[in-house]
Amino acid sequence: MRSKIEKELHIKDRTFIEKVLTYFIREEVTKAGFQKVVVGISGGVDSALTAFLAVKALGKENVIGLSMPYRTSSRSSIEDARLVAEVLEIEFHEIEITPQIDAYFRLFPDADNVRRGNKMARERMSILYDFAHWKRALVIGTSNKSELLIGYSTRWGDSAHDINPIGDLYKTQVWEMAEFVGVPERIVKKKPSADLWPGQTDEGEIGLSYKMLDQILLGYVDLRLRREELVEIGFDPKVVDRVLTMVRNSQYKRKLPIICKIAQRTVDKDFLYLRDWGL
Amino acid sequence: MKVAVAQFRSKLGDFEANLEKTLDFCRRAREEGAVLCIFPELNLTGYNVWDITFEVAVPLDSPKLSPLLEISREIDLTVGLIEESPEHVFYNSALYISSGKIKHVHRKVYLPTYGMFDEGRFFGAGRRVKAFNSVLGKSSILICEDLWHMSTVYLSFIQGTGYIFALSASPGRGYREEGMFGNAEVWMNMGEFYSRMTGSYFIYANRVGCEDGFVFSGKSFVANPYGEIIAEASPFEEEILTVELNEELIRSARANLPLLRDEKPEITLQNLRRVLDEE
Repeated sequence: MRSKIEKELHIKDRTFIEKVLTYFIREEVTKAGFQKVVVGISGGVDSALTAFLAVKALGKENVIGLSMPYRTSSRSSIEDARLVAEVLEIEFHEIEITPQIDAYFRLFPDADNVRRGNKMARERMSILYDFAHWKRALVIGTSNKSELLIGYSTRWGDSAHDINPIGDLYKTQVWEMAEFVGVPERIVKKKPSADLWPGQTDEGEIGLSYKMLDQILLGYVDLRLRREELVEIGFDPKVVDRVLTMVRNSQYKRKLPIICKIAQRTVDKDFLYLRDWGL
Repeated sequence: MKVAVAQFRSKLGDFEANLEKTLDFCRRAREEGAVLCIFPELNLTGYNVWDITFEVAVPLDSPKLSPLLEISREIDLTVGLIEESPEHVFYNSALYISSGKIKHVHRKVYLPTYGMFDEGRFFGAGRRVKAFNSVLGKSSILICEDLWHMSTVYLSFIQGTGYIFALSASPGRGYREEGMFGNAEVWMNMGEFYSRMTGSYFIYANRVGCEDGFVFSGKSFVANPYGEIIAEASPFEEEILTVELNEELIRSARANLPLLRDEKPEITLQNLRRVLDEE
């Protein structure tokens, strides 16, 4: 079973999956009456892969990249974001968010890292949507399946976007695809980090490697293995429990607000239409 | 005789737009010399209709179907739509239309209601698998999940069907195959197997396009009575696959492998009775 999980994590025909993801972007963007997308480029591999796919799908003239550093953002993040835009030859804006973030936290000088990080993520979302309106574009999301499942995101921050081509790819699959589509090696190879404060790394914060995380998630989510079965095939019970708890506790992040039902049909419950209704 | 398989992209919930395109495909199929044009499951409504079901359903005597009856004087056609019965039950149905008349109706028997599928929530289930005479010869229409139940193919087989029309709207999933989604490969395996075991042509018409991130897997195909795929479509694009079918090949296959001659439906029936009685 362990070997099945390891095998299942690999994307066999990357050419085909690249075609699927670019087809999805083209279809969903143009059907909705748009030609352009805006993408927040952080310097990390998720947003780089997303930007590469968007350019392949829509052409470089239809992709707008935004880098939105804060004063503590690492030099390498800023440079790698520029690198993505340079390689892709896309319209690119660097908008520093330090003034508005610092202005706000002058009211709360003792605010912790999480509050600050969340505020930054939501500020970036707000700028992306301003650009989307200005440029008549959709916001393309960059959340991968691993982070979506464990809730490693800011609600209404980086988790808010219109379409997401990479949300069914685990982080380790993002690496595979990023390498395949030609994302610069130094971006694919570097340690993943949300870079919300100096020295932050994903794996440090989550408490395990993406390789292990993805295997447990694939076993639990895609193969529907139960906790005991995951432990039986050799995963550390403490790690399994940690992952499953993160999945359960973050379900609220994956859902829209819940509405109190009093009528026959209720918007979030039994008013069932796809977003592509009429498209 | 030439048959046309219409690999089709539907507009979700827009009956009129889909009807227009259906007519256009029929005209093109006619120009290519086809005597019959076969469309995918629910091509006139789109697949994930959910609550749109009650807005796009049509009774079979609806004037909305007149253009289809009209064009059937030039070319026979099989289309998918939501049929509203006189009792106001809604069926996922396929019609065979010829010479200005609806000659046969198949109501989908097996409605997938698991995982990403929710058909049983909206549709009533059909109860009959009946062969009929199409322009090609003795034929059966089966819709998507029907084919995953061997019984529907068996029922077609013992009625002497020589042409199985397999209509589908199969959302792509599985990234462990080459050049197509995993489910598309399963369909091809199924087509090769069923066509050989029944000594019939297996004509698979699938959707393309995207509905809220469900990317339909395309790869429509025709398998001959020897279990060979003789034509196949692309994974993503709309197209018309025009294929020459030969009645003699059914004869040849059944002379070499007389499974239909030797089939003993009464034994199947006796055993079914016994199994059901023992329950």
